[in-house]
Amino acid sequence: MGKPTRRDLFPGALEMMVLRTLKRQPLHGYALAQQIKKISDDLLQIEEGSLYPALQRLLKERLVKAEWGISSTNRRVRIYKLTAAGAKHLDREVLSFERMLEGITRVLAPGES
Amino acid sequence: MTIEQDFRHSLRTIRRSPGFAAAAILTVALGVGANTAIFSVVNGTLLRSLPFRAAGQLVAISEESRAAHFTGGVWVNAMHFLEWRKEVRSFQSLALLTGLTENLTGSGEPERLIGARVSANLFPMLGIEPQLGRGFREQEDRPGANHVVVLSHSLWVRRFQADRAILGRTIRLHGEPYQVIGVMPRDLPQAGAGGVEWSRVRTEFWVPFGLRNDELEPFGDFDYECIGRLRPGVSIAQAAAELNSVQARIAATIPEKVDLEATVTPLQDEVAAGWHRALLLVFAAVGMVLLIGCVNVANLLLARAAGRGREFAIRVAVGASRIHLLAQSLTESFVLAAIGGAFGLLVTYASFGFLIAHAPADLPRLDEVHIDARVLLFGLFVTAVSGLLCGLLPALRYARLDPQEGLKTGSHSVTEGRRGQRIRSALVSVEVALSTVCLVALGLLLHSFIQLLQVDRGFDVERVLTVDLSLPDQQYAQLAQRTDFWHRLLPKVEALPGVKSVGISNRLPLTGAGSDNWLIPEGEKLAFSQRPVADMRFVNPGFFRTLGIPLERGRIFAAVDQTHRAAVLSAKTARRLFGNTDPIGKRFHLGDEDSPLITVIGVAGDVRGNGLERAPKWTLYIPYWQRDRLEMALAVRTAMDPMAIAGAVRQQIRNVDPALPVPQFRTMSEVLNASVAQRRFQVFILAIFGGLALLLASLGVYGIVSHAVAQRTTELGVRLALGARPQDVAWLVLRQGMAPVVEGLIAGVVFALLFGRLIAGLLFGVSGHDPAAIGGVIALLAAVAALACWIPAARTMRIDPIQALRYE
Repeated sequence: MGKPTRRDLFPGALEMMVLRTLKRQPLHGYALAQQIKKISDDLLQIEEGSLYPALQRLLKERLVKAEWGISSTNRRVRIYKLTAAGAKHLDREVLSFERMLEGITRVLAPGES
Repeated sequence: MTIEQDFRHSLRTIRRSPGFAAAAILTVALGVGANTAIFSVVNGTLLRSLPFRAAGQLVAISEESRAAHFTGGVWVNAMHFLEWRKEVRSFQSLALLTGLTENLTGSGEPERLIGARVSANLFPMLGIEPQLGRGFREQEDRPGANHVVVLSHSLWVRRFQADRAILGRTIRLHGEPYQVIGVMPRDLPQAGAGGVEWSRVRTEFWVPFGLRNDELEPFGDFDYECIGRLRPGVSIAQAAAELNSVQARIAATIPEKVDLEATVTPLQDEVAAGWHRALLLVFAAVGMVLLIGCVNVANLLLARAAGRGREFAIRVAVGASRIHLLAQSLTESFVLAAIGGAFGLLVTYASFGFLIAHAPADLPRLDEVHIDARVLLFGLFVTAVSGLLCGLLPALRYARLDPQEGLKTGSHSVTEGRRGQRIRSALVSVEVALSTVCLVALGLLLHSFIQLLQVDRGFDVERVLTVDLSLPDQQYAQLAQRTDFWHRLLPKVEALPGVKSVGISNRLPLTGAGSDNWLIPEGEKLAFSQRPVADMRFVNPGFFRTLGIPLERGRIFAAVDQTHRAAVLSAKTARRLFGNTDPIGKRFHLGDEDSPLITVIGVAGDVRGNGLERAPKWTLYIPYWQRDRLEMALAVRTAMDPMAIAGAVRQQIRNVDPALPVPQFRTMSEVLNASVAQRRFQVFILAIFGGLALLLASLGVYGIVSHAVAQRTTELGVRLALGARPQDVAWLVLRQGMAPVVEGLIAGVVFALLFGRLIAGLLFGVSGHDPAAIGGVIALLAAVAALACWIPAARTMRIDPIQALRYE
């Protein structure tokens, strides 16, 4: 049993990562995938084929909007940008996640048995 | 009399008048030969099915969406393609393709190759089998498993010495190892196997598509081509209907309201797109030349009919039926046509090589143009039609002869009478009319071509050397790395003796579109559809001087613009963004309102960068150190012949990066010529045919006037004897000879005006009724016809009335 098993992300995690990455700068789908991979230092891997469905969900909820732009290879591409609603949603989720993490940390803390 | 006797009689008749026979045979040979040669091109390019298995089932699929800001073209989205594969039953197979250019390194000099990324089922779908090794397996059509490659025959021979042990060897493309698993056959048709957009260039390698998940953008990224094979019995309309219902389902899943449609076109039509009109025009012109030739020969035969009245009269008197006379005369013309046709075949073969050598390089399926059975059959058909056209009128003429007239003593020939003369004049009018149309077509296209070459391009092409450089993305992923490369290379090239200035750009004029982007003047809020779109060019300061693009206002980038975001706009762009106010110092956003503001520091002259025929696009110039591309073009303005310095430039590039592939150098003049190649070909071919038409028509006029003079020697002699001056007689002949010419010209001009309207779409800078072209043709034809009339007319001045009267 050599390889460490990778955990499944909790629901909503992928959306949160996407929103956070797009907050830094608007990106095209391929660049977005690469960026998330790079920033998480490969610890978190997006399951194959789940990025675009996640983006579609975010588009439907108007947390993200898609516009036409030019890629570095002269192609017309869809660039995803955070909307104002998306920025607010991200802040709320991060807050709620941090609270949850705080709670878990407290429970897992070494203490009196 | 049997057919065989008729045939032998015809041969005897022909042998007895070699001059006439030679003229007729030559005319038919030229006409049939030229038509057959042109037909071989039309056949290979437009008519013949693509050389793939059951090619009628092959279609090209493209998508359209107004919401995605484009319609037309071959582009397809990968995710949609996968949906079609799952849901659309009308196709037995669908394949995705895209063109690639990659650097081949590791085995000798680095080279940039054109290749294709294709679905594994493409080769079986088209029925293509490699000559060595195999095609792709389905399991190789996945990311990670797709590092296998099939080579083209020419690459295998050129680069790997046709080594039969090539299979299993590894080559490096894009810096990564690919295992060679197959070699394509030598005669692989160029069309289709590398896609349609790229079917005009030679594909050198194929790799499996290996579609990645990050290429499955749901809406956008319409980047690929799709070829499909219909199920037997399914029509295109049915397939398109089914396809569009799937498109509607896809559109419904997109969060915004979008429209999405697909179009299905026969692959053959897609490959030949844009060439139908041009080729059919040439075909029509050569057809007209043949018609003119046939009219000429018909005239010649009619003239001879007049001279053989006695012979035929005797035949009729002896009991031959009129039908038989008709048959016999037709046999004669068919025999003439047949001999002409045989020589015509020689003409076809002789001119074929010439035609192919001068055909424009982007003529689709040029490699499939051959003289095959269908072409030969066409030649036979045209020969037969010529025989009929030439012989019909004379045959009818013979059939109407009155034997009494012929038998009268003292008449060597049946005088043609008014009627015969009128028919022959009418034929001359027809000839002249046809020539007029042909020459006007030539005139319009020639004038267009001249206008095109003289249009204000906005840049200079003399003494500029160019080469396309593609920096590999492994070593040059960062802008800083690329900037460093240019910083090292540009001064080196500039320092070479004979170099006046050096320029770089992502695209030089006439080498394709750059990158479009939206411009938003500072402070304005514009919806997408209202934003001006400009072509971005990433350049160095020396670019403008190198290409001879004038600076109209302000300045060009300099050292102070290292971090300061500056841009030079083309004049049109400045006017569009800022109206008539001075644009210098004003600012704008590039792309959207959130991007940083860019300051306008200069205004450059407009350039017809996307084709001489199109108006200059809105262009903006950005310093390459702020934004660039991996693929850039280098231009060098020289004091002498640009190619002389190519070796030195290549050496300097190697000094900076020895692993960088350096393709062929081209001069800007060559680039310009290549961009007008289709037009030049048309003009060239039409000039040949126009010349032929003119020659044949003038021969026709000469023939009839000459014949008239010979016939009327007696009458003219009488006039002279009665006191007419020689020049009056000559003038009379000239006037009467020119009468049908003038009628023909008038009719011809009318048809030419109609024709001009048909081809108005092919013209540039001239209207369908361009007075210069029409006037020029009228003047030319009138002058040539007048000359053709004058030569025999002048002879009448030397008629000795006594001699003329003595002859009976």
